[in-house]
Amino acid sequence: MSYHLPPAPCLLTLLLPPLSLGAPISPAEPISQAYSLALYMQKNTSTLLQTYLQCQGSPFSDPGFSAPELQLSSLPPAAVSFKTWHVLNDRERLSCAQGAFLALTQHLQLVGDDQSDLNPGSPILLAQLGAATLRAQGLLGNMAAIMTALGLPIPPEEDTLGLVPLGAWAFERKCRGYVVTQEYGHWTDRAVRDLALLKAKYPG
Amino acid sequence: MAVPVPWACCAVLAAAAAVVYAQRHSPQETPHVQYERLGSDVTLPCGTANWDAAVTWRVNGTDLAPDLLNGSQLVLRGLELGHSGLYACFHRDSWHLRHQVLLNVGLPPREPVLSCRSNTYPKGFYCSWHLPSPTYIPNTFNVTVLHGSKIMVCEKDPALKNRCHIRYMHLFSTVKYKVSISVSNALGHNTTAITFDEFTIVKPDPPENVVARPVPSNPRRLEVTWQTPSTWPDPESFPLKFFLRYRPLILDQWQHVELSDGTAHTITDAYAGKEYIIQVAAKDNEIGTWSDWSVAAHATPWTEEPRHLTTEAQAPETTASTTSSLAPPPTTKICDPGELGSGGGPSAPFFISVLVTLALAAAAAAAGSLLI
Repeated sequence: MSYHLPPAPCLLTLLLPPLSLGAPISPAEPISQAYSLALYMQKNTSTLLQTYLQCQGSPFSDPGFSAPELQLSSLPPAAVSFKTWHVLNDRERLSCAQGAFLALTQHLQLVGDDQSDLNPGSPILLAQLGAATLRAQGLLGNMAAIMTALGLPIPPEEDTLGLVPLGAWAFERKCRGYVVTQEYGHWTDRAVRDLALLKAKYPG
Repeated sequence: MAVPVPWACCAVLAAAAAVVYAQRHSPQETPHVQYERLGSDVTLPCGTANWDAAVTWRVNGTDLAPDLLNGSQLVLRGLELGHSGLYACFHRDSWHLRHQVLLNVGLPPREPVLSCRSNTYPKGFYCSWHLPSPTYIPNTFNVTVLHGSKIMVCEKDPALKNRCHIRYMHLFSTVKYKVSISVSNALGHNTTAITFDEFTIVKPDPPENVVARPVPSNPRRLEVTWQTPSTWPDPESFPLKFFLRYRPLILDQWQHVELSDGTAHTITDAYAGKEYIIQVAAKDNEIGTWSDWSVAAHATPWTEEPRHLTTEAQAPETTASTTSSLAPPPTTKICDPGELGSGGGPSAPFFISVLVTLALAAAAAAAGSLLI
């Protein structure tokens, strides 16, 4: 696992063939569902981050702790310039989000495992991590439905964790969990914007 | 004779000019600029003159009393703003100008007030500043903006002196901005800083072009339309939601409606015949705060033209839109319960409608003094 500033944006990993498989279904319904889920997720993301930090001890639990420029090379960052984000087409937009939430579900699972090891006596944190993992999976499913409705190919699920050393020492694991819970919040914010845009584009 | 006199005149004028020139362009020709604090005491020496030199001081051309002098030095106690001016000391006998001081009385700056706002999310934001109380002397401001650890350029506003603009770099990250400002003048210096996430300072400009129109044949409706503020760069990607408030002019209480999309709304519960005032505010769907209220629109719902009793022949339709406009139409009104003005439905015979009209007019007059 390495910490870089910043990893390649998700656009560079789009190698999907641009073919359309025909899309007779209206995307409005799955977009609306995904949007509602993303909004619901958004309400809990800062709570998750705060709970996570509190349970890690110093320096994470110190008031005002913040290291927002830390990234994980295995997790695409949500941060993007307005110019770039603005001109994404539907396929790029959804592929980016799909790739991110796929990585997030896997990373959240890993963080959950790390935390049951590091903080076994924090059931609230473990429950919140579990819930976030499930919701991220749910959003993945919704986005797959949108892509099907739009006739876009759904990228295959791949292992994003790859060669991440799972037996890292405690401090590294805590850092990793911080980056994951923070990026989960950022990607949820971005998903809300993406889906709002799609909602406006494909009204019911 | 005529010829020698002009020459003599010229000579005198030239001499006078030379004297004036000598007096003005003495060695201390440019005044020394000095800043002193309000309320303090200051002693102005007369340049390099000895303490016991005989001098006269003047301020802005007016003599100063000798009791202010300490030898050749001018002593001013408890400086007030009125003490600001051009002080000059002259050799008492020759009126030779020895020294000039341009005195400016002021204050060191207090902590500046700094605020930032984005009405153009996500393209950027601006920061404005001011001093809570005047210093009375010139101040310079220096603004620095940090995004995480990166220094960003704050471009000066072309029109406003106390404002600068920052372009956003990234969306969907929570790297905070830290904006610091330092202000200094000749008497002191002060600074302040604020730290924030970009999404907390988002406040759109109010909606534009709010127009309210009556809806023909609908005495309880008003159609309101508006436009998203022109400063909002991308309403499709970053949609706005709106808040509408309206009330009849004669009432104090507002009705409110929150609208999640669209730039039009029809009010359906207006009091018939009453002039309404309507305003709209805007907010990004997810983040930030509501804009200020828009410029108000005024409108009165549609009312049917009152008919003249004497010119009324056998009218085939007497849609009784002469109902009292002082209260919401009561259920016992004489016209159709649905949308009225259509002219359909049973029509009362002429004389009954006259009686009804007279009764209603009387009621209207009587109730006229009772505001709802």
